[in-house]
Amino acid sequence: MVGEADQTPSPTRDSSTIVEATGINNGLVHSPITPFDTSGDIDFDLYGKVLGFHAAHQPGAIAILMDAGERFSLRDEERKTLVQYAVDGIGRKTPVIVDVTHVGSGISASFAAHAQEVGARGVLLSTPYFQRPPKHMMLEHFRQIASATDLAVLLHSSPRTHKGEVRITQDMVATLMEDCPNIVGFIDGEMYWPTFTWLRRYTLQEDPNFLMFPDAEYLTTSMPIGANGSISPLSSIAPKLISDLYRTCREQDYFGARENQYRVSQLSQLIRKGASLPANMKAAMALLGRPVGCPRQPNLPLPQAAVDDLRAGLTSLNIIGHEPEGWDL
Amino acid sequence: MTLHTNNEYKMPVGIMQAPVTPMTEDFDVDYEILEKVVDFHTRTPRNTGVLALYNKAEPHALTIEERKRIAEVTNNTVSGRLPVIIHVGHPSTDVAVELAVHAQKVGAFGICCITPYYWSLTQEEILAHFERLLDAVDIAVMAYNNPRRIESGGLSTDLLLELIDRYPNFVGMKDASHAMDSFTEYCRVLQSARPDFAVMTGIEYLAGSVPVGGTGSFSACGAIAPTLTYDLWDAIQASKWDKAFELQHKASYIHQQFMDQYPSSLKIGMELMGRPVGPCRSPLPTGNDETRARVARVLEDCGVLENETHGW
Repeated sequence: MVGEADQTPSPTRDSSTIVEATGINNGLVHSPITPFDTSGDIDFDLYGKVLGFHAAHQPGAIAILMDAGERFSLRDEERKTLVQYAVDGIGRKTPVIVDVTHVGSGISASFAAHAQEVGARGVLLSTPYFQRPPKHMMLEHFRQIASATDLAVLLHSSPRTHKGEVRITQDMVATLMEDCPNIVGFIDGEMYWPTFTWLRRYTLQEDPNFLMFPDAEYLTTSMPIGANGSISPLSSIAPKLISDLYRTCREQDYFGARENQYRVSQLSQLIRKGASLPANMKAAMALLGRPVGCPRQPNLPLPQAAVDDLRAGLTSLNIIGHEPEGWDL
Repeated sequence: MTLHTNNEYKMPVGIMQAPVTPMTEDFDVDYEILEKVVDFHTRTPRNTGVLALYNKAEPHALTIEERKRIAEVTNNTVSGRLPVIIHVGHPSTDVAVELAVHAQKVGAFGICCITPYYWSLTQEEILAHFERLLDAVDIAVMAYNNPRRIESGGLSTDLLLELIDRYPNFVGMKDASHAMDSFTEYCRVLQSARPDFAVMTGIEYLAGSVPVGGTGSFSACGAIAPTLTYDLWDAIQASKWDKAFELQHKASYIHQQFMDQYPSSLKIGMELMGRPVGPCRSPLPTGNDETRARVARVLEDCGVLENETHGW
């Protein structure tokens, strides 16, 4: 993949078996919300509809309990119950990847072990929030969790959301790839071309099967430099637009993808404006005929004026009127 | 309303070269070698312009008088063969304006100005800074956005739209945020207001930026590997994406290796390519034997020693 004059070293490892076991068969990984009823309890019937809606769009995988899924507003047992429910519901047809991030290494490791036990196909692991551990303890954190499971582990670096700019650097990835054979992917929340490109080059040299995704749908800007696809929270709202964008990029028609990338970029700004990601997403889903309740506190639902603005934004972006409304496709 | 740029202000599309500042062993500016550097870049096939006094030229370690003389020597050496843009960034608006007026006086095509560093400014204060510059000159003006190095953070699209609306010679921005999401928004919003508004990456991160509207970049690698740099541009323009992937990764790797002690590693690289340009001024370090050995390995690994031009 790198230049012919470039004296590329031979790969040092082969993760093909572990990556294949994830069942991820394309690079669009949907990340759904978690619905709550009027009492604030998880609405499992509705969760079934949410998962079914995503699965029907044939994503490469579904990554549950990411930011959109409000993992940090759930109790430990609720997280495990949701994982079991998702795997039982859609796991046979659609790979379920579980975000097992927790500030405590031991708790996170127990989530990883549980994910394997109930039949998930991989785990996803972000930096421990709130804490700012030194590098050697960050590495220890990731090692502990990766060693608690045989599943594929995808690291997620998100210094923009984890304040204090705690990030997973290239040298940390290199160490972890050497120490943990089941660490087979990296999700980039920084979306900074230099570090993304440097890491992509390094990981491909070491392991041609290593996966890399941005954590939002900036596909036209990342797939030309080697991203496999992206994490996609917006597929809850605009699955057709996101699928079209992904397909065009996969065909390497990057100039042709520009207009759709602009629409996705606008939608991404709209959905992160003012309130939290889950609050905006849930309001947007309600506007599209898929009511999923309110976010859990501390996130509050959108006030009516913000809902009106959101409706106007979704209308001007041709989301309302062109994307699926209701639960049926 | 959609605006269009007058041809006299329009920024060229493609990759522009940015010369380093050569120094003698006594750390004086070596103007004789500067002429050689500028001439080398000007003669580089497919180069679309010369940006003087960009960060890699160590402008922040130069006196105001030195900066003016470098601007003049650069413009005289290029001698109309390519557009010359002078970077006039400074923490003082007064000084930036003085440098901008001087750039116009010596015949530069345009100026580029970074957000005033050190200060933590509001968007209103940054707007006022650029208004002073734009009121002071009648040549092309570019804003230089580098939120990772600037206390004030990034330039807002609202601020840039206001400048586009009010000044016909505000024609572009150099975006060193290198962030996929904000770069996409800059292109979408600013080019919707003025379709030929130039949005360029700070250095050659082109494979991901051109598809969303990027109009080119300034060059970090061009002093070492100009052929690689322009082959990357051509591959993207021709939608040869496998080739673009390969070249982007190689250019990015070279850039990564030069980030350590930038631009001293780059100056060592130029020496290894037969274009010695001397040391860096303090507080930047000058590359040592260890740097030289590392850079030599990089150039060999990437085929630069074999495939690129040696000497002037």
